Amino acid sequence: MNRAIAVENLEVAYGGIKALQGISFTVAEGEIVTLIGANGAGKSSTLRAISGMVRPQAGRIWFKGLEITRLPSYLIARQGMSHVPEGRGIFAKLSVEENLLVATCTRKNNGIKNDLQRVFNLFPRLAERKKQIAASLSGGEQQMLAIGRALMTGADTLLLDEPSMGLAPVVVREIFKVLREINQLGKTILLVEQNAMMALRTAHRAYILETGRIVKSGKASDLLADPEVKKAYLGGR
Amino acid sequence: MGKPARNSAGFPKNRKERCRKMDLFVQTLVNGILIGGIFITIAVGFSLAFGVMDIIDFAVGEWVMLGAFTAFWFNHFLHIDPLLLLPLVILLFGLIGYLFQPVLQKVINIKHRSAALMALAFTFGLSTFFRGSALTLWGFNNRNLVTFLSEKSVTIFGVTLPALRVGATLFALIVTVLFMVFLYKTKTGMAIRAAAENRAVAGLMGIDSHRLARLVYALYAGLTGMSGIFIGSIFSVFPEMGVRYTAFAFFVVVAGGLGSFSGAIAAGLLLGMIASFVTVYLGGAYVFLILFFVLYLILLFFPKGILGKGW
Ligand SMILES: Nc1ncnc2c1ncn2[C@@H]1O[C@H](COP(=O)(O)OP(=O)(O)O)[C@@H](O)[C@H]1O
Ligand SMILES: [Mg+2]
Repeated sequence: MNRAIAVENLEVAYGGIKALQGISFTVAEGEIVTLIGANGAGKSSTLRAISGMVRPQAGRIWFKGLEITRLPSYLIARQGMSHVPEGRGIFAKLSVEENLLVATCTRKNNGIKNDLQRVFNLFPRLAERKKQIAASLSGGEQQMLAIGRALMTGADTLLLDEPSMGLAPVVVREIFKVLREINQLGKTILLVEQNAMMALRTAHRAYILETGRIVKSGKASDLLADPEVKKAYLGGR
Repeated sequence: MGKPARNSAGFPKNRKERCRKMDLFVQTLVNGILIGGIFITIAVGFSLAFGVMDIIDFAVGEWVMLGAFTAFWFNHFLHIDPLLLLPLVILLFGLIGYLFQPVLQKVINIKHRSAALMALAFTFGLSTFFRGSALTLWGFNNRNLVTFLSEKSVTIFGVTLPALRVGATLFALIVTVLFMVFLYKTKTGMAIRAAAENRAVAGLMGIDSHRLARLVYALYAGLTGMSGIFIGSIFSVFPEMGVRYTAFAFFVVVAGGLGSFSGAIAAGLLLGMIASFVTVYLGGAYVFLILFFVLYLILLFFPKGILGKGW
């Protein structure tokens, strides 16, 4: 399989604090890979470094074979990667529809209508609210909007930062169902989660992050059954 | 405003005192709306530049002043009517803004704890430099910018108005509407609004926010320089004329709510009213006192701006 993302000895620091102490991992095209870990483990920092929001201190990053280590985020996005950041980052003053269309600013015009329809099919609630200001959406709808917007960029690879955060279990299930659908349509997904149960049930492979280091990795189903993982991340179940 | 509005108003001479009072009121009201229209043009660009660059450009008033002087000198040497110079001044100042913005961006991007303050100090210094240079080059004296509309008046619904003010406001409003159409109906405009709200996330959408900031700054400089022609011909042209417009722009952005365009429009109109009424009923010297008292009240009761749409 071709590699979508490859990360080698990635280090990220904020001032004196080292958030990532040299991690390496890969994501193959068409895969769902999840990074799980406690709050502060360095999950968001990993995604931010890959999408160019923060500059790594050391290490290298490739996207579809092209080194992107020090590219600005807008150029990385144009290669076909879309990062749904922590906290969703929707444009609150724009309408729902504008949030979706603004993601198409740098792509060719063909296919935009189709893609918009597809997003509305995935998330019918967005279609109902397309003229509303995005600030008026509920948390779950905002998460749907953020994912829909990422799809509208035309990206083939999505980085998702805790899509379950702050949402009711029923909404979380709905969103993860859509993530599997999106993956079946051919999108590669790198998913960061604290909700390890949900993430491991959805992903093909997983890496476990503790204080800036990868401490375990493997097939998601194996990790789900791993006694240590169960104890530490799945509430002993 | 600079000169009492009474001078420019052509009252019918043989009316009763009561009517005159009413007339004066209506006159002042209309003048306030008219001059507010010009403030709006400055305010929208200023507010947008603030949104995409996170910078209060203290040199805003100096762009007004330089726009007025550009028209003055072109008129002086080439005898072209200042109003015909509008397109030229828009293009010229747009170009200057476009070339200058990367310098400003460099200052903003400096990796330093007080980068924002440094950028503020930088535009403040720039404003002082422009003003000082203008004083050195052109001296203290007031100059008049005479246009083909200057001595004319129009009567609308029984109110006699200086044609220049009416024309200036109409033009300013048309430009502002075009600007709004650009912002709200085009893809680039949408990208600008998105970047104004969250630059980092706009970057994740593939939007090059530095390129947009450059475009916005060019538009802002063009519109502000253009306003200089109107302001210079309605009042007068002198090197220190910009100071009050910097304060006005500050008022409009804060009173309107940081980052809110509709708020900036409402605040621009409010400013026009305050300036007009205070000048006529209390005297021009009180404009700033009242203005910043009103701003204080707005901040006290509407911390998100008069329309409640700011941050
Ligand atoms: N902008 C920042 N400034 C300073 N420290 C930060 C910043 N962002 C994250 N950190 C620190 O880096 C570490 C990793 O954070 P993060 O990547 O957000 O972890 P996670 O997403 O797994 O919760 C934490 O110790 C956090 O406090
Ligand atoms: Mg995080």
